Amino acid sequence: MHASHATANSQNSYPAKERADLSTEWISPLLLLLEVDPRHLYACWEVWPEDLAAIGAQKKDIFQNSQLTLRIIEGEEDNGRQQFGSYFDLPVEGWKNDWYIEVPRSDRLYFAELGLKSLASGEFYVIKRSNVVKTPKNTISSPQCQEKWMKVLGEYETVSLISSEELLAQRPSSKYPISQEMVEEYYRHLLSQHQPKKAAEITRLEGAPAGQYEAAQGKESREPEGLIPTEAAFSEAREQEGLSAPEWSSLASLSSLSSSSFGSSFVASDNLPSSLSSLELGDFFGSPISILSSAALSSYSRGDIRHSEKAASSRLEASFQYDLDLVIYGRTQPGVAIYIGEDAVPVHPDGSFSWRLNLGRQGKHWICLRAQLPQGGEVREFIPIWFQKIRTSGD
Amino acid sequence: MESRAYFCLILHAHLPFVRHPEQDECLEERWLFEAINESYLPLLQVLENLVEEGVDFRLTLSLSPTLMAMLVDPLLQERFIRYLDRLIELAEKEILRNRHHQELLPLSSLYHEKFLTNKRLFQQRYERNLLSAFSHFQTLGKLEIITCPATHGYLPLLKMNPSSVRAQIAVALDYYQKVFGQTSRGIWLPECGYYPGLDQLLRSFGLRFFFLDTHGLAYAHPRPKYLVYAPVYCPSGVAAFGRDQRSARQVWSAQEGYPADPDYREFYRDVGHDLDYEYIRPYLHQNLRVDTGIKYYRITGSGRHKDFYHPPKALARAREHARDCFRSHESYSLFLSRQMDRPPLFVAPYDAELFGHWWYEGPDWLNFLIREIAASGGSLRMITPSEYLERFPINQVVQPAASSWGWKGYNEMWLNSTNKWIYPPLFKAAQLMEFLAARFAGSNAEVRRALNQASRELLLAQGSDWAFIIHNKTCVQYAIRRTIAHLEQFNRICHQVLAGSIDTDWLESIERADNLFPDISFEVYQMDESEN
Repeated sequence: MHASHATANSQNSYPAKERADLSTEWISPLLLLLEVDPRHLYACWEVWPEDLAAIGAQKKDIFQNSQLTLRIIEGEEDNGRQQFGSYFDLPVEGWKNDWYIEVPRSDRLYFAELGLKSLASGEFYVIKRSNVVKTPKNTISSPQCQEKWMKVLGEYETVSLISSEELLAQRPSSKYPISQEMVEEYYRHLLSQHQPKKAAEITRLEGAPAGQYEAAQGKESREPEGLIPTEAAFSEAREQEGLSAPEWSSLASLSSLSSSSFGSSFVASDNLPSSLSSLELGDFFGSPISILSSAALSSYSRGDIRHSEKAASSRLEASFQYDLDLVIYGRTQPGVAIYIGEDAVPVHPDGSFSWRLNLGRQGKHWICLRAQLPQGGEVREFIPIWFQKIRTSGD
Repeated sequence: MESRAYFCLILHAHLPFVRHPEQDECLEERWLFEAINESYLPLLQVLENLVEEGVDFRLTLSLSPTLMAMLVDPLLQERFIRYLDRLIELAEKEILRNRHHQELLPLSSLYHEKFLTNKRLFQQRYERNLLSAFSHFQTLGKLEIITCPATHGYLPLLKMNPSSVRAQIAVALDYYQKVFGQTSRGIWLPECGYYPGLDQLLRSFGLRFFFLDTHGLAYAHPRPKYLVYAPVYCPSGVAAFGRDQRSARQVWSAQEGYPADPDYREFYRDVGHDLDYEYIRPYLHQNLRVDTGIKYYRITGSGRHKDFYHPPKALARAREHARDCFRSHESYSLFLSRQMDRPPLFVAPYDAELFGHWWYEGPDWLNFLIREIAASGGSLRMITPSEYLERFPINQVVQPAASSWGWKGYNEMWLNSTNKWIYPPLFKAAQLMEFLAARFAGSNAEVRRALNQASRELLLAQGSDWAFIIHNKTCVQYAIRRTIAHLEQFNRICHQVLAGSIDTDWLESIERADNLFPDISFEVYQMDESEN
């Protein structure tokens, strides 16, 4: 689980005279814990003879047959509360010494106890407890997390949280258009439920290679036979279903926040932690783009991404990748529970809610959105479908 | 018209407090003189010319309080003039020595002219006060000056004493207010050292923003939507701006960075080391070979052979590199702006002393870059952090991750086998200071005076420079000596205060030496309830 090693004795690190001058015995015993990096802590301790004598008098049985031990206790923060659980012990030496300690996890709380561990019974007598530290986080956070935005104007008292909905309302509508494909897919879903035969009639493109889709919509169809250009069929379906404009517009509440990424020139420098050498910019803007240590092309590859040779020939646009994030938001009455898939969506006191999803692969995404009324009341379900596809200029 | 992208260029100007009135000449004071001569004055000249020619620009400058204290110190100002006079004399001798040398004579003359110009600027134009000079550009709205913790303490390793972190910030802000007559809206965290919770303290001081290295935002929770291309708000409401690695690499990288170009001046070939010892001895430090600032060679290549420096060629390279920098950002912004709901922001922080001192052509590059951006018609526009937040007050809320811009990205540069011994005594001293601040609150003037000096000594011992220098093995003995001297002086004052017997003569002598922050009050170390 862990490994530890003693470091050079600190007594060798600076001249004896100055060390004596710097010693302030009034703080004893001392146990100090510091974070070095996400997986290493530094502990230093000092126990002075007076303290030893006091411990010897108080705990004679342990003192005479024990091992000086550093106990490292791990914990987590849960809603602002610190909770500690597992620990491990390190036999150490010297009443004034320091150690580097490798710990199992980053982004965790730790504190140490310096004590005497009975060789006979294992009983642990604590001499000193350290400060609590937290190892730095060294991973990119999960994308499926609710997004919060804040407005800060003037003095801090005007800080206010705003929802993704409000933020999206500020976006120019033309910048994040609702795609025709989304609309079509939505109707296909409705048809499959209500008019299976009609739906089968207009089924197309499932499993078809990217690029054929555009051709199917173009004047010179290269589609396999049986796939029908669909606008007329959809119009007909819409009429038959009696779908009205508001339902069309309901789709507009599904907004893509992110789409594609170019680039290769995101380069690590020496100061970046090694874990960042593989940081992928696309994790933020879409699909991964490796940080490179030279001007070389991205070494990134992902099975469902098609690389464009044309793009690769460019200095900057070394590879083409894309991805999508989706924000679902809405408003309900307080007390209504909202679920997206298996995830419970926090509902604000005013009934508003928002949830962000990362749709990492192309193809069709079914997103089940459920609203459960209080006290086991009615459940309403909404299943928007998101369709992603690849379109490259060469196809 | 809205710009397509913004460029926030930050220069972090800092030097440790190197003032030694007890010596007639001090080697370490040359750090300050070299920085003034090679970086700060050339930078001011660039800014002056831009304003004179009506070129629009925005820069952010963080001035460390230790540097500010030295820049307004009459003793150091006087010594800087003496330093310049000797350089002028050396340059005159070099003109004579090189009078028949076709390549070297123009270079000697160039240095001679530059030193004379700097002396005139320093004495006449700026009346020895460079802070006023920088402040002028802040008044014009071209420059945003921000502060940094009092003695550049590395806060992630001081946080076990919350009062130490608080004092570093409080003293810095008070000093900034005193010097500039206004408050600093943002702060430069030394070495970009951040830990969760620090932003709450910054907010309690009314600070609006700080800077992080890339991974401080890359590892934030939740994942920042725009990585470093837009700032985020910490839960406290303080904004964090993340460093753009592209911008960093272009200048910082030893291999790929612009400063490594073969046509640029070679830093490591100086007449202080190259010329005959007897000839150069009057311009050395106590017979010790040191850099004089007169350098005749260009980088040329990685080998030992070096060609003569050719200033027009170097200037042309600086112009090319500025254009390349502009174009690469402009082109990348085209991609980014398609992904974002606002123009992307490039945050590019650099050490101010890199420009001119280490990278001789740095100020020229900066000058050309600013002009490229100004002439771009808005495809890229310079902005300060405060302006950005006014223009874009809505930003994502995330909790940034603990990080630094030091080696390996965390605390190891300042906490390793070479310098770890610093922390136990620093911790103990801070605890003692907290104890004394509570015990002697409201004491008589003599005790207050002693404890105020103890506060200065503790702050000076906490400077991140000492641990950094010890690790880098540059001036190790000096850094060790300074750390120990400040802690010893601190301990001695505290023991005298506790014993009720203050040696005022001795106290006065260390007050004269460590004379920064004249209005400091030791009560800044009093703990509030949440810290107990």
